[in-house]
Amino acid sequence: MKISTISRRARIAITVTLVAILALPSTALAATSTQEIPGNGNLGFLLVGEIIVWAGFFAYTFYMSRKTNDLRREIEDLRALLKAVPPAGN
Amino acid sequence: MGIAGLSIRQGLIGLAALLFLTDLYLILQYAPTASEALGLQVQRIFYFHVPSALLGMIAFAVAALASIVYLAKRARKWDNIAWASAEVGTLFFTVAIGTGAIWAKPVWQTWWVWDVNGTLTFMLWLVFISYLIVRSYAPTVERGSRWAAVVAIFGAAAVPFVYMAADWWEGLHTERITGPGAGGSMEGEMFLTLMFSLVTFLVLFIALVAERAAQRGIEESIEEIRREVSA
Repeated sequence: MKISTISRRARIAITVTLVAILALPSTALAATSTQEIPGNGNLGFLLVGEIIVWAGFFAYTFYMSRKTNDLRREIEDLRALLKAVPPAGN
Repeated sequence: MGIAGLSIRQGLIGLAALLFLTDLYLILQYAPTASEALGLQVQRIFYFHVPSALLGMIAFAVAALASIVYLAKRARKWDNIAWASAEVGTLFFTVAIGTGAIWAKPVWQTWWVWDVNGTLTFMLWLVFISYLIVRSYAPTVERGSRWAAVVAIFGAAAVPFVYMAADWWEGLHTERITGPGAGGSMEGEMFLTLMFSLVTFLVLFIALVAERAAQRGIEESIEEIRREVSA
């Protein structure tokens, strides 16, 4: 029960962070004014770079969370297995 | 457990996320736009590129040190730290290589240059990819740990050369602007943003390595219990 509460909280936190991460660059880039620099000053390359950074870290965090879920499942399996095994001495 | 039911590791990940948001603000709003020679807006990639490259190299050095301790003491804890550090280091180095290539295209008119710096960086990345492959394909966990430790020590020996490559050999790569003996310099706001990025990536690195090493510890405990149950 506690684990699921934490994971729901974590999911909300991750969603809020991701939305903010995606929103902040667009507002900041809009604020840097495309009129100041002719040809946007390679903004496209900057955006692709940002996407690579975030995709990399997001993919790794996703991979770790999947591993954690697998571990939880394995612990459940082991608990079930231990219940099925009669205690020693019987 | 720490404050409000959060473990220290979860707290570190939360802190890294907050620092990253602030860092994005500094990179995109606070830091001034660079000169045309440095690529104007695309130069802002530098605030991701330098910290991820530096932390990648530190990660490989940590992996090598932990591997040496593991080979000396044979304590699984050190092997888990080495594994986690090498894995996270590979991620950071991949980000560094990717962002470097994206910056190079508009500035140098090419994605990649096979000068000494580029070649050594690519080789170091390959060594740590092999580290992860060795671990995955070793016949037993023990052998995988031993073989990977040797690969990590061998790979980390190249770290000082990659770090100093821009100073020691001629090439297109710009001069180092951080660390002892650095020849380059930066404007105050740019330097401050870079320092903040370094701290942010450092916190993220510690958080990811701590989480992954702990995960490895749990995986091993489960494997051990499974062996005991099936025996």
